[in-house]
Amino acid sequence: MSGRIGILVAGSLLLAGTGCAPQLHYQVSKDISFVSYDENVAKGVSVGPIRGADCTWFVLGHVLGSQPTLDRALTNARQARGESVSDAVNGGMGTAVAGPNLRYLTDVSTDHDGFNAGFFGKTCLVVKGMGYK
Amino acid sequence: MKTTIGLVLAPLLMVGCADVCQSYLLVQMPAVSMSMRASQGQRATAIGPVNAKFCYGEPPLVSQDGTVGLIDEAIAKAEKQTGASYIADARFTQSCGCMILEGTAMRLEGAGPPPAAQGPRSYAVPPMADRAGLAKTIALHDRGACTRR
Repeated sequence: MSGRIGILVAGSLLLAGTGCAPQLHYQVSKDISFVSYDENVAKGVSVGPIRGADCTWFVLGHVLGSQPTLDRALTNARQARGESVSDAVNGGMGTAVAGPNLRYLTDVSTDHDGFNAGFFGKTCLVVKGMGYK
Repeated sequence: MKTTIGLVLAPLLMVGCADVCQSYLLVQMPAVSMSMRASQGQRATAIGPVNAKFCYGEPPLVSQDGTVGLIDEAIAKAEKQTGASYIADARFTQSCGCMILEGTAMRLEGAGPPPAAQGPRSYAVPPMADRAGLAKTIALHDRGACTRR
């Protein structure tokens, strides 16, 4: 009898503990102060907010091309391309003309974007920050 | 018989577990930092190679609002370990629920001494007579604070 009460008390404590524990959410990067594209870390001139993304289309659950990567999203942010689409058609070569080559970014964060229309959709990895030349 | 089965199964399980844990290179950047935004013309010196690892479930160093940036935490850990201003040739690898940062710790001129160079801190202990006086002063101060409130 006392054993059952013990199990009940332990279970309740465990549940209460789980309920009260703070939930942590993880993402690749949240707010990196400084990310440089070259070895020169000297202060530059701001060009304003920058966004770069790498996206993939999927149709009927099949991914066309490779999954979005941080590497390509950062490259697109550097060249102010906006986004590139990694699919079977253009092989992830980017969809816009190469812009200014930034030297570094500050306050860098990543996020996931896209849409799902049932039988087709798009998933993106987005990099945001302040660009400097 | 049981021993034979155990001897066959144990290596298979070990191989299986090793397969689950794959590591892959996420990104490589020439310089990253959590403690500076850009150098103000200071010269940078290399402290040495650094290897920091931040895993899911670890208490975060920089994220305070419940959202944890894995790269942010790995950089902050590397900078805290070495007293660096930034990490050069940073390689971020994701493996077994951990973000691993490998690179070279760099320090900017005038950025303050690294934690290791500070040495152990010592505090002077006042003699007994002074301690009594100090206790009286603290008590008076506390009483004053209570009165003010």
